[in-house]
Amino acid sequence: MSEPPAATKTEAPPRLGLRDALIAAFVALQIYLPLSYYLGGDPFDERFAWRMFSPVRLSNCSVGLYEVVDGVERPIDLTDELHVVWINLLKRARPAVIDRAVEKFCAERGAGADVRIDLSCTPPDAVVKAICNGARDANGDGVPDAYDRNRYCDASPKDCFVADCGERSADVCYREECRMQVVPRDRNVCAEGAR
Amino acid sequence: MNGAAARWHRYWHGFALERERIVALRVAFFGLLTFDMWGLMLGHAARYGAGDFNAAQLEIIDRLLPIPTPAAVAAGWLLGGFFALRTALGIAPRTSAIGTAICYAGIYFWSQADSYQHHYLLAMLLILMAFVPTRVWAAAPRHDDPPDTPRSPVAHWVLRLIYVQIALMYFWTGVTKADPTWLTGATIDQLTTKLAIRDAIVAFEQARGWDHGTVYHLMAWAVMLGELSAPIFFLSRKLRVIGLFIVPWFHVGVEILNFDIEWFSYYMIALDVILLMPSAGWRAIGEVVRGTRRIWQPLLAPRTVPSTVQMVLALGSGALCGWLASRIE
Repeated sequence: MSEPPAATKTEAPPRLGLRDALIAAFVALQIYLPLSYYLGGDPFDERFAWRMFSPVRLSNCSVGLYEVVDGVERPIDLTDELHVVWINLLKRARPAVIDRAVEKFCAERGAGADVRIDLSCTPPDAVVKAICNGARDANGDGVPDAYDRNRYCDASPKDCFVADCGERSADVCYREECRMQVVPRDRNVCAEGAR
Repeated sequence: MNGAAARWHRYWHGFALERERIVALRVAFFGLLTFDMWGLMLGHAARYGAGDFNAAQLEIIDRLLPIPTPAAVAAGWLLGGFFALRTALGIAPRTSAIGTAICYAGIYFWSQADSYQHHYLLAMLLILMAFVPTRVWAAAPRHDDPPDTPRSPVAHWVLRLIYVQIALMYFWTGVTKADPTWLTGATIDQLTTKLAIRDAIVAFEQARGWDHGTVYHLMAWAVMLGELSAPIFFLSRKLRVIGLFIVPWFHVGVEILNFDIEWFSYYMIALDVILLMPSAGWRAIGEVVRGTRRIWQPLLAPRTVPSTVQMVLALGSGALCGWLASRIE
């Protein structure tokens, strides 16, 4: 019996299986997770977004812990509550670390505890805004002195100051532009959560 | 639909790499992991579960698993290093790679205590490599091949996925750098802390009459453009050789500027060189290896090891593990 003509020979089409589903899922995940950061994700949670050496990583955060007992607020030494490794991650405003820390603080103090966390960070662009180097105006020219040394703005110091702060005073501008309140101090995190 | 399925199949399942490249990848990647887990990461075990506190990488892990302890993490890295060494040496490479992935990725996802992002990349690559069968890792010739037969490339979907993963990583790091603050050079300026480097940069700028900060500004743009174009080199076989002369320099630069990112630069330099070297380069390496077979093959021939030597090796291994464990602070 002779072979069928080549034109009528057909190969069975490859069948997509579990491996192909895994491939598609993996690639989709590696596109979705980083994309979700840019589409409204927490700006301080860069873990799965491949944001190595990002300006966010160099944000300067400060954290304070307080407890309100009988209406009196007293500070708590964070080093008594957490290891320095976790304090440093708290200072990077990692959402999961904040949440776990709040759970711990509140669980240890029992029902009805009133714990406050004051966590604020410099915004990622603070390094290029001269106002974030200080609002001091020693020479009294109406422009913070830091603008005389600012190399990230090509215009005159006054124009750069106006570009950063508009009509606001230097002190107000500094408070509004140079600190982001991640967890406000006036919130009872045991009752309302941190975020 | 059949055409799309055929193209998909060809893209993922028809992608083949030279056996020499696969062996180099296995030895270099898992070899680095061995030294990393035993030499560097083991010393960090004490921070895990410190203060009876932990936050996992995924919330569900916090709910399911207990807080890690230094002992558990240290054991995981000791074992992981052992599995990595076995993989590097080609001993039961499939099960060894799976063991490495379980230990490394398991500890990574169990806790955010170690916050370097490159651990995420290594965990992802290890999870992928756990799917690579032994026949691909071992790159052994077929039983009926004459000894001097050039060995054909090996195809497996994970090999393509490794390239795609690295391409995606570079792409997203490039997107990170498409940021006005980064492009001013301010971030690189802040990251460069070594005085000798900073002084050298200032001297370079002054010699050319450049404003202070110009070098950081130029570096920032170069990094962004480089990282956004790096994926092309990993996705196009023809362009790999161009990438070979560009991409590894990012990581060399990171080391020169003394950014503290543990061993990430070395992993990436190894991966970049191995994955981007053109096929002709690996074929030439294969020829050299085959040509010198008479020298090295007798060293690798199976032989009976005297019981005395076995005892010494066992005691030595135990002493090494003890010494490694003693480095946990």
